[in-house]
Amino acid sequence: MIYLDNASTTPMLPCAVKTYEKYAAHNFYNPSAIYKPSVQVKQDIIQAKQIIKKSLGATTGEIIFTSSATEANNLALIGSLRSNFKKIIISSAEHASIYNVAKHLEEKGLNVDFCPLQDNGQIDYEALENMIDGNTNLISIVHVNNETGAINDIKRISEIRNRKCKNAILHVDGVQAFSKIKINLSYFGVDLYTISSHKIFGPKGIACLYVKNKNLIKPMIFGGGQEDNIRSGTENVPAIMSFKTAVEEIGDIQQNYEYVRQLRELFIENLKHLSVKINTSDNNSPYILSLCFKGVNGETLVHMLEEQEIYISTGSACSSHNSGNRVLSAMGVSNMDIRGCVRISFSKYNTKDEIITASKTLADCYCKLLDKLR
Amino acid sequence: MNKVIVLRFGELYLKGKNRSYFEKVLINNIKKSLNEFNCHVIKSGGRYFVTQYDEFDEQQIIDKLTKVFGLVSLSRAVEVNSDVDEIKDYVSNLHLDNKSFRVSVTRADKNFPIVSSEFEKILGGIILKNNPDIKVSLKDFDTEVVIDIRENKNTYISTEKIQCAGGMPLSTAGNGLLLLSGGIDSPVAAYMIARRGMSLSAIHFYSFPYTSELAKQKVFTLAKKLTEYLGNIKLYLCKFTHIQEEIHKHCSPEYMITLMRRFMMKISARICKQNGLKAIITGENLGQVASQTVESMTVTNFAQTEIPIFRPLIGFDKQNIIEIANMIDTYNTSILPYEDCCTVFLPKNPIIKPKMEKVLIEEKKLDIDNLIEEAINGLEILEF
Repeated sequence: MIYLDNASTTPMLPCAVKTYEKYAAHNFYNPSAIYKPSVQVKQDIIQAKQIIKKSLGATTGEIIFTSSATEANNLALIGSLRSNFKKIIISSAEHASIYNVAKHLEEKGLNVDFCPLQDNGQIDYEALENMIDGNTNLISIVHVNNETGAINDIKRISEIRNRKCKNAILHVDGVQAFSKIKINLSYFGVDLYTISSHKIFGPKGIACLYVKNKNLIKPMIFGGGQEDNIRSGTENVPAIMSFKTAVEEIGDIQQNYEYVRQLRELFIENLKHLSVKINTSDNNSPYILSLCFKGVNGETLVHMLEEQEIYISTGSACSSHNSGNRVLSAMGVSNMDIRGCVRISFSKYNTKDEIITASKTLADCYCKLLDKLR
Repeated sequence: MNKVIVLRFGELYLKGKNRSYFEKVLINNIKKSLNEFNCHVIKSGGRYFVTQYDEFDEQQIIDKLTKVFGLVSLSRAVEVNSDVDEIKDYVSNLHLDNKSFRVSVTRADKNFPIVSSEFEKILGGIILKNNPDIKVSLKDFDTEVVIDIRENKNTYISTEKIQCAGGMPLSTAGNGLLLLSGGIDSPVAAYMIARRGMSLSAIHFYSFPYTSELAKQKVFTLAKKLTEYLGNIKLYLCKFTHIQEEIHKHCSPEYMITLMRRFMMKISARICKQNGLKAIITGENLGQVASQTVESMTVTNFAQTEIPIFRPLIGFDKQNIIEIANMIDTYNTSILPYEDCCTVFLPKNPIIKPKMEKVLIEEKKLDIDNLIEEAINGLEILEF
């Protein structure tokens, strides 16, 4: 089996599984109880938060654990919303958990502006600068796009915000960036930042929102007042601690980046002789490769590879004929090309042999399919 | 005072000498549908009842019963002794929320001391006294209080009538093979034909890798939902990819769908013959798409001549079909957007009025027997 859908999810590391088991079966105590083992569990969670915060390069602020990055993104937008809000800005390339929340708020009467993309998938910085005005209350921009791997320059966005409307809250969805590119939230000047555990070899069911100042966020879920009163509900301790273990295993980001870049180059090399378009430019995240195969349906390619136990995903979120792909469309990719798109997403654990086998099989499947459709 | 569920049968009463056979099958089907519950299905005083069930299960039992073909309606009722005072006592405690009511007394036990019409008036008076905001209305009533005085010295009192699926008991009208595509129509066709008593197996054609595992899972979900009405279903899964590729490679594109449909009928007829199934059932309705014109259906019919093709939805509007799909809870699954085999290699201009001579010429370009053999040999069979 060759797994090249790491942007979708990743397998848990054995050490993360071990931690999970430890806190599920042995140190299972409710962190809110007052006896010693519970107090210890509470301390362990506090330590996990410190480690995660440090990995984000944040010197101040809080980590609020949530059940998913989708919840964290919802919390960022809905939790920061105030009755005097006039306008929010998101990019056209946001994940559904931002995009659909913004659409919902727009329906409720809030002014929502959608920042366009450049051809390389990054946001159009000039357009953003023109959009931000004194009425802007919140800006939410994805750090690394999950479909194309385009990296937005968060420092630059933060500076534009500072110039145009210093009080606007800046939220960044960092799910595909975390552990893969260098992140320094203090340097970036970001207010809210979302990351997820299951994209970095940790368990599913746990994610978090970094909050620079907890007064920025009001709760969406009320109850016992856990997570600084922002997200009630008994802490998912096994998942939190296992998430922490996965963070500790990230290793040298620069070294991993370089290795994965080589994997990506190798993959592209084996497809060069074909009629394939790469939807990302060279300086994008090497972890994600979006490809358009001319004249075929990407979904068919995914299934042909599936038969060989090689797992990749389609470029479009949905296989229906006309649904298209919001992000690729915003980058200017035609509907015809979108139909032929697939997404390959690598991890530092993929081997070069796997990449050679997968890329050659993909090329082979494409040629066979073209022949059948002729 | 026991709680019971009163069962009412429909057309069975038209069956004359065969009635006992139909009744036996229906009772058997009812018992099967309730096999997970602790209860009894009994005949008493000429009526069928579900008795001795845990009140906790009542709603679930009713949900199951409403899906048994052959049952027309049912009522939750209480069983009291056929004693004037006992009946009056029960009725005096009735609290009716609705605006109008009537009392209907049937007196199978002619020894009961008060005639029906007289007793209706007495009981109506009691209800009016205890429910001052309600009116009597013999024609347009909201609630009918039914007092059924049986010969077994028991009386059954109910205040509601729940509609059931009606039709004829399953397995009293042979068995057939349903073409289950994953769309809106075929589950509805299954419902309509099964409602006339036909039990069904199903066949699904898929085109991996052009269609996905998700499309297959969707069909499994539909099959599972249909079991609520149809009982166990045997599903034949037929890989159709090679046939489609061969048609695409060798034949005129406009005939793609016509030729595909004919292959489906040939394969289905083979399965029917091998398994003693007596008809092929499709969800086609006249004029919906290119393959559903009278000309298309004619050339499809003549793909084989041994097994009849039934199209229970032939005269339905799409809106009717959607209503039934919603009622049997298949609609939301059917509209999930996965490609099915009919949308792969879809020609730009499918022929609307295919000609038999042309179809035969196109089919000569293919090794039909081998392709069918290959499809039959590759069949997977699943049980739901």
